[in-house]
Amino acid sequence: MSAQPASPGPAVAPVPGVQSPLRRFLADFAASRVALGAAVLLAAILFAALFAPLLSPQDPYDLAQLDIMDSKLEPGAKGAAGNTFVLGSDEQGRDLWSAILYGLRISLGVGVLATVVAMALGTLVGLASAWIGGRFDALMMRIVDLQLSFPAILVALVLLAVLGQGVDKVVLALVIVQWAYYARTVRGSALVERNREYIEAARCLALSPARIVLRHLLPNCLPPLIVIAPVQVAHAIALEATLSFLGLGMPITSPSLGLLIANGYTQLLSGKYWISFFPGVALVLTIVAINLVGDHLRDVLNPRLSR
Amino acid sequence: MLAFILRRLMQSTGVLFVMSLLVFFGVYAIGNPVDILVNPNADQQDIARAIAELGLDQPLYLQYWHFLTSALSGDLGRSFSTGIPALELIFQRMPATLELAAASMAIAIVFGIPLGLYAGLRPESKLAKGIMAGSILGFSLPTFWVGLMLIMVFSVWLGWLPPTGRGDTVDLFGVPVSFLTLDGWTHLLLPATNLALFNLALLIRLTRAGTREVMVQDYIRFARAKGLSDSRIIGVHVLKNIMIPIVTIVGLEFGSVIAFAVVTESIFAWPGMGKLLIDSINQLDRPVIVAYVLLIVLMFVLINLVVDVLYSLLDPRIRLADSGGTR
Amino acid sequence: MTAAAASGRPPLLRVEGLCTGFPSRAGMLHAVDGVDFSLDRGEILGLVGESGSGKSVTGFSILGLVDPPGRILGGRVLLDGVDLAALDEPARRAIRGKRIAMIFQDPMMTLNPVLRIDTQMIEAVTAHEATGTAQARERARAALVQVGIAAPDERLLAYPHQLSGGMRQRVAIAIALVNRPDVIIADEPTTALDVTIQGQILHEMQALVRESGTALVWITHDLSVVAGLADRVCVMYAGRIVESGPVDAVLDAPRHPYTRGLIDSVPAMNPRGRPLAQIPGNAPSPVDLPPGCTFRARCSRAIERCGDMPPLEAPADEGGGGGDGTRARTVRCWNPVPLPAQGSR
Repeated sequence: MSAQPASPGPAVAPVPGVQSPLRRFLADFAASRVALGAAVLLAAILFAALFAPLLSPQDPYDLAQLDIMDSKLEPGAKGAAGNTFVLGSDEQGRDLWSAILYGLRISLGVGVLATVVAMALGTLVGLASAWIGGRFDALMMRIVDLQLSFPAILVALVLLAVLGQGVDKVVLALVIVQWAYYARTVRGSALVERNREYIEAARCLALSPARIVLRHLLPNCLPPLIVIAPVQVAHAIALEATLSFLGLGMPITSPSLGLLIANGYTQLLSGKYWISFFPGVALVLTIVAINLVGDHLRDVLNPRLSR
Repeated sequence: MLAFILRRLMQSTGVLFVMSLLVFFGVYAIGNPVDILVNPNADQQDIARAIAELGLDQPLYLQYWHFLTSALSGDLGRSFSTGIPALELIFQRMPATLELAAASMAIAIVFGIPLGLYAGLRPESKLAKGIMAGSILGFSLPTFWVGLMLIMVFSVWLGWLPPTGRGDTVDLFGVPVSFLTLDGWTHLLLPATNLALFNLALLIRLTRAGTREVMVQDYIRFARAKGLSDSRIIGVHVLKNIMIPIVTIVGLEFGSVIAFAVVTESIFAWPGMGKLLIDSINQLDRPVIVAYVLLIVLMFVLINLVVDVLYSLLDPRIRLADSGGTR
Repeated sequence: MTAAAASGRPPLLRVEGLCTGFPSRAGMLHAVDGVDFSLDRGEILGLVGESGSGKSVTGFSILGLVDPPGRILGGRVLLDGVDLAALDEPARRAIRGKRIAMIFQDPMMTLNPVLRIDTQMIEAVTAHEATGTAQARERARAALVQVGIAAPDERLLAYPHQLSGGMRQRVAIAIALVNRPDVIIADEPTTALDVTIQGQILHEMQALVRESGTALVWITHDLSVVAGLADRVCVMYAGRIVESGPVDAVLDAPRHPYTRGLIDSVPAMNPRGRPLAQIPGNAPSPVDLPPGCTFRARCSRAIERCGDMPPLEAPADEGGGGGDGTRARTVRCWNPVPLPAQGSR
């Protein structure tokens, strides 16, 4: 492999077999067709969410653009203004395709935001817990254990029942539900890393504790986080959708996919399936794509599983 | 063994105490307890009387003491909307939830363990791969959406099963149950299936992983060398080994099934305590919410306790650890 | 020579051209490649080889217990003239544990940790006979007494983790004995035990098979164990038998260079103070076995003819070819170690 004879030809591009880590990672990742398909799908979903205003035929929340005559149209039907409703319309004559694109934005945004904040908070607690140890560590881990012994849905439900509705409150509830996972994970790897030689070396150099923790310890605790983060985003999105469906999550002014599904629920029994069905499909595709990509990411990044 | 149970009992009491503090501060310290515990439609005079009655003008530690003692004596306030004591309201709804949870656990166990066993014994077969792909879906699909789809397919399109409600009930020891009438069965089937999906997927994966782990052990080969039949090896030697983690998970999951029943009950209008919670939240019926939270915390603590004890009973290596074996 | 062989009856157990392979990415891995031996009632055969020589797989192949995807590729296993390899699974299961029993290497792993000893012993009886539980329990108890376990009633109610390693191996032996099998295959049953327990169990096993007339195949990597226990010995190398014969003859005057090497590397068999010899190199990988004699690359006596696989036959100076190749003194070598000069022993 390494004994690649010097090629006499003109400047040779990267020698095969001597891939950069990134290239090898990409090659490994692409080796699974399912994961590749999921990655493409996820990219398409992210693109659609980002450019929703450009991709949707109408602004679903500009009431001036809605026509009550277009109410509850079937998928593919033509509206009063001659426009086609690809996925049908809801009660207020809103184009579902447009509503889904906008809803995707909100769902993804809330999920990612909550996960990032929870990850930051959890990492901080986990690092502090591992570094300080003693009673602080014991107390923190008791709190983590206590919280993780209750299902996330229940904790979030009760929090929102107390806090009331609102985007900020949903994000807060999702953060509170998630931070404990990160705290536990980071503490675990930080405890291992803390006893490694490079930390000893940094201590011998009399660096400030903050510098040792943030510049030396933190980067080495990140890999397991990167592995669980995508799955947690999927969890957060599903949880937000569930809460919104129950009427405890997002307010009407920020219609996420869960809220769209809830709106269609009343129509479902009269056979108008599309108002709930298509937002649900978008939600499921998003969650499954993130989970598949996350799972495969874990397999590729985990050196113990690789050949 | 007794010492172990006592120790766990004390831990559980500790957890309950901490949770009661949390709920107390959630209700009394952060929010305005008058808003939370007094009916907002009451007039000024009623509010003043309620404040005095609840002791809200007293110092915080006395208030907590009052809260704790009345909670311990089963007094968690009256529902605003119905005037019925909150605890009584929840106990009325509890059988429906427990029935739904038990039915869904039964579905998950009856299908999950055999499917997982098959997938573990024949991991390379097409059927096993199909089972595993299905279990990934069971993990990924949001429960509430699957519930909607079940209603859409089986109630709206096919018209086989009723979409909502509990159907006819029969009193069993004074408790109304659905599973003894045909009508009750048809109402129970969809929500129970919906609630079972996640645990079905979980049990399949757990059983499969356990089976694969056990099948390569020397004691299985030794059992075969003894000339035992496959059914004896799988039914006794394999199952008894994988049962320990399975019972643990089934026990712990029973709690989360009760929690997730909130979602399923809302979709299928199943008159359980989960639906009561959502209705109470929507009606701002706070005493019921507080009572629900305290009760569910108690249930979780009890479930954890029972599972721990059960686990130590099932595994002889643990059971006999402190009763002093020969070694 | 035992009476049975002399009378011309077929041997109790006869293995002919047994081949067992494990498919792998690099092709079929021949773990056992044409093994022949036979065994009479009451006889103890030592099957000796390094790890990976195929001795354990030979044992599992006899019982039809090769883990899939591995399988028996060819050959016959004749028990009283009946070919076990040709039987269907139910028929083979009826023989396993009833007529041929097996004892495994690690007593910590062979007993099911969540089942009581009585369950595991009684099921071994009831799997083969329609006996009542009480009667099976009595048999189990008797078997425990037989292997020298004190307080058998108490032990029957114990779980494996409550017993010591030696005790567990005794239980495993009792399970093997409980149906009075014709053959016991013991796969290094003393390797995982303390030396003192090892000696006890060896001694007891010898006495038990002598007493009951059970034939024993003792699989081991340890020549010194075979020396004190077995009647005959087969030495395996890379899936083949390279030398076989009466244990004294083989150990005193090994003819195959590999056997010679094995003996020279056992401390107890060498005079104190003399440096131990070792066999150079490693056992060949079963994936790409070299053509011809598989020991050639490590052999100091290799000659040009070793490029062809030598047959397993009686050495020329002990009567030459002929014989059925399973009972007499045989060696698989073109250039065997010469017999020691008379009188030097």
